[in-house]
Amino acid sequence: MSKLLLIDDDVELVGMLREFLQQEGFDVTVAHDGISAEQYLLASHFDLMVLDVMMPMQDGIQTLKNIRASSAIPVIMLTAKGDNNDKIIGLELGADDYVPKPCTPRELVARIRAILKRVQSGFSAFTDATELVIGDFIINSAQRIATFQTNRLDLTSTEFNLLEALARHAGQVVLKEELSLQALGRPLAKFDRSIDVHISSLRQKITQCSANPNLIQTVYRKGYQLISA
Amino acid sequence: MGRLFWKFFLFLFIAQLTTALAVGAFIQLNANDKARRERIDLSPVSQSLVDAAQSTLQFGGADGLRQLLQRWESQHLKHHVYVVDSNRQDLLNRTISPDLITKATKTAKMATNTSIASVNSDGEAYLIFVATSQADKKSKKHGHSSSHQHKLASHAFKHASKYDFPLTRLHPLLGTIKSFPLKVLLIAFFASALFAAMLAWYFSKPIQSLRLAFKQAAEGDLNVTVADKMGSRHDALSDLGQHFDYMAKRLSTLMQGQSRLLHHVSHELRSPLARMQMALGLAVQNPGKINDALNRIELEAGRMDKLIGELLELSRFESGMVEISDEHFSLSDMIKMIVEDANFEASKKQIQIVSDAGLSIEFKGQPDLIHRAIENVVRNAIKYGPQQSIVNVVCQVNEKHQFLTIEIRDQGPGVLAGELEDIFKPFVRAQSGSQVVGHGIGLAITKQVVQAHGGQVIARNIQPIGFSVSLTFPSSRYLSSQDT
Repeated sequence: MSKLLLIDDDVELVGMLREFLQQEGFDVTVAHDGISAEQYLLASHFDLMVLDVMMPMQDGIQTLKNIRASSAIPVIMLTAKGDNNDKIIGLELGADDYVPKPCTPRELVARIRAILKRVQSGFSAFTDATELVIGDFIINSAQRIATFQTNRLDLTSTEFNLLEALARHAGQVVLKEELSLQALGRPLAKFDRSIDVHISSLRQKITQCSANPNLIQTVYRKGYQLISA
Repeated sequence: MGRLFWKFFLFLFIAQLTTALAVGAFIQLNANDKARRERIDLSPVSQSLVDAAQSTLQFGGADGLRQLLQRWESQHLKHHVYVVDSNRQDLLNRTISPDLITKATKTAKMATNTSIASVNSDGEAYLIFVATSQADKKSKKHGHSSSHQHKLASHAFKHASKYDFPLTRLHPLLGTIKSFPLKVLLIAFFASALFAAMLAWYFSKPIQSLRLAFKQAAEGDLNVTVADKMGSRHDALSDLGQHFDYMAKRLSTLMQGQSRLLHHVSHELRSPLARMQMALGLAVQNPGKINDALNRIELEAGRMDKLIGELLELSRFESGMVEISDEHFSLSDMIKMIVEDANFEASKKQIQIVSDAGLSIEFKGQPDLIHRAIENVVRNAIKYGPQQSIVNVVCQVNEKHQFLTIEIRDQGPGVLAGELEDIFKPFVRAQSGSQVVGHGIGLAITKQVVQAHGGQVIARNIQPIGFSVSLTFPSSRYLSSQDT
């Protein structure tokens, strides 16, 4: 049973959502503010976190920032509909996905499942190869560890999935649609910039250990490509 | 530089130039007039006088001539005979205008008459001429010079070369115009252009920067400032700039407030929607929960309706469209009623409401609004007060300072000192109260109602623990009779 942590200040909403998720077979823990959420995370292990952006005292963005300093737990942000700013900032800070609020609980569950599937099983199609070596990258799918020039990359699960998908097809263009399916577990929506934001933060992390920032190249309007040598 | 600058410049320039020219012309004419007051006389009378003086000089020497001149002078003749030596000194030391001497020298040089003579005596060259003091006297026709006089004059002329100054040999009228100083004219022209430009710039510059600022503000950038572009001037224009800055700042604050309000409103409206969707999802997941879900949806729909109603009311207050009626009602009864109603809610948290409405106070205002204003604060106190605590509602008239206070106190944790003002803004919930469901619009309405009645609302923390909200009304709003 997957353990979820729900963080939202709307007590009634979270109560109902917990009921719904429990019916769907999740083990749900509820927190009403970011600070207690951080304490829960320190105390025990969770498979995924659903985090509301708009909260009093410490908002979701700050909470995410604090959590990301120590944990790579998959995070789904609940953002206000139409607030692109929150969305982009959240993804940049390492959220794996976002769901605009108000949303139907079924939509949220679908997103949760998609992320959990990616994280827990890795790429089932690729499990035959345990280690993938592309240029300076060494990607261990089983342990979900990526290293670059002997430096371990500190990636979120979505970023790891993206890197892995690109590495499998190194030297070729991987379409955004494909990346969305493999990394986020959902088809690419119109005007969805999530993949671009994730790629951008992945690039930043690689750049920190490399002088060459263009290891992942953008193929305009199509997708991305990992330079193989 | 805009058109305004050129208009200012042109008007000022023309005005200054006209003034300068007028003054200059006046001075020049005056000077001419003065010079004309004494003029060289070339009449036959003068001719004979000059002849006599010339003879006296030749035979009697300078001393003889001096005696003769003194005698003539004592007779107060209309004609003055002047005898000037090479140092332009009169023999009798009379003051003669240099112009006159110059003119005499010039005339002697032309050598067309014998009324002026240049005589050499004892090694000294003298110029003899006659002047009359009649300003308006037209120059008389020159007498015809005899050949002898001509010779004499031409002879004298050679010696008079010392008096030769670089002179205009032009027509006298042309000379006058020419003598109007061209240099002064040029200086006047450029000086007035300079000053006109400076003044025009002084006026048009701040107007120009104001114009740009207005344009910028109209395009939506309210962060413009003008006052700092005005330099150190202190006048109506710099005041205007400062007022513009103030206006822009105020507008910007108001607009930020509005957009923040919109943000809050959308969030507050979405929360019930999200709960409705959640209830729907639960009902679909488990059809046995349909009734719960329907109840929930009804509750949330009601919340949304209430919220929208309150928002509309608040916006009516803020736009100043609400007119307060002046009905008389018993405030004490109203407070009792509010407390009774609130007791039901309070009993859930085992909160006791203690009210002191022992006064019989007749209030003048709109009863439903006052009811709402007080009720909002009381419900707020119940909401934030801890379990098993006391909420005090105290109504007091301050006879000395002529005001009425309704104070509502709870034993809750209060709010941060910096947030005391903020709790009266719509949708701002104190941090400590974040867990409690509700939206922060009640106190905003309370504040608007009290202000519309001419009163004010003050929130403060009570030491060591507790929170108090006071509604204060001026004496014009109540009629109190101490009912004991």
